[in-house]
Amino acid sequence: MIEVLVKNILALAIVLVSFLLPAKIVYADQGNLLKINESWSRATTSSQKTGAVFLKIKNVGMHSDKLIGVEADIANHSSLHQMIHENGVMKMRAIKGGIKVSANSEVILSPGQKHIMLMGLKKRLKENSNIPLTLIFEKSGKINVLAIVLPAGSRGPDHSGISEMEHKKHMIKK
Amino acid sequence: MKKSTRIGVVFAIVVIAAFAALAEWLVIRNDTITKAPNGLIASVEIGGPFTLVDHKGRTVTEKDYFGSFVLVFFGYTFCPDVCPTALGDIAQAIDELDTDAVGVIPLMITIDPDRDTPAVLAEYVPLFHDRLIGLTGTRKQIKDIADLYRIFFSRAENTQFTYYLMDHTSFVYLLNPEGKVVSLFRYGTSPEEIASNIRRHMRG
Repeated sequence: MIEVLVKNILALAIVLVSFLLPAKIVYADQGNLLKINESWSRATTSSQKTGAVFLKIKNVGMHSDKLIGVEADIANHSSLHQMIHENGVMKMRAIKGGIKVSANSEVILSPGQKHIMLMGLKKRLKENSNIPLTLIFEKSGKINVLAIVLPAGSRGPDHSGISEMEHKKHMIKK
Repeated sequence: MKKSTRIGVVFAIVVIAAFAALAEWLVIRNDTITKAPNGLIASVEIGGPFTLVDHKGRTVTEKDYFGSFVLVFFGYTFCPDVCPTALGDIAQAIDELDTDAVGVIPLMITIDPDRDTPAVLAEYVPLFHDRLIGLTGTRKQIKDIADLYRIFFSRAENTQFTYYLMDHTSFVYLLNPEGKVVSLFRYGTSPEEIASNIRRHMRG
């Protein structure tokens, strides 16, 4: 009886340890747990003083983090914004308290949802140029990114001419 | 029942009825305009005559566009997200129409005439499509046409910036060659859907 119990406890301990070990090894590098992908913006004219940057933040770590701010030399003021649809009216509001990126998940800043707002552009955003930005995270600190400037009416780097909904349909078909 | 109580009850009923009527009116308004499915317009009259200035500085009225299907979007050049998305979709819908696009004129009417002068629009509209026409006017002219199209717009709260933003209705309207609104597309309607709706009206 005791023998069986000890065996079970041992087996359980082995299972637990096997779960913990690789986790410790894989996630030891704290600096690389947030991956910023597909940073992009849209071309502006010389008179437009506002721009938006969209991107994907992937958290491959075991702890959640939060995007709490943005710095961009190209604009006088940068902030995190959220679009609100209300009966066909689109409102844009500052996000208070940052954007949470949960452990092992991805947050996408995309048109009509969330974006980094650049206010008071010091120069126009030229197609094919790059905008340097610094994202500030609560735990991971500062991460530098380069956002590519796409055409004014672009929907992003991954839909070249395919709308978001169509894109989803294509994804499902695959 | 005392007389005063009776008057009180009658008064309460009248107030409740008035609120109900107001609520109903709001709901109907909401339903027909904002809750209509894509490409559908209820019996509410939308649209009408206007006098505005295009991005080349020419004075235009609704009659200048009679004879063509017209896509109308209300926006502004400082709009960082919604307007570029909607205008990009309109541009793509025009391309999607291919040879049928000859009979379609895309219009962007600014709701921010203070900043969006014809010269500003002239730099802005070709970024999306070489056929896109930008229209502006006086504050009064813009208010008038926005009212006709039931477009809501207001300056957003943050007034400490000179770069103010606008809350606004983000529909795209389709006008037939007689200038009547025949379709309404909600924000996010795919360019393919807009193009196929226009084709259906063309085949009529």
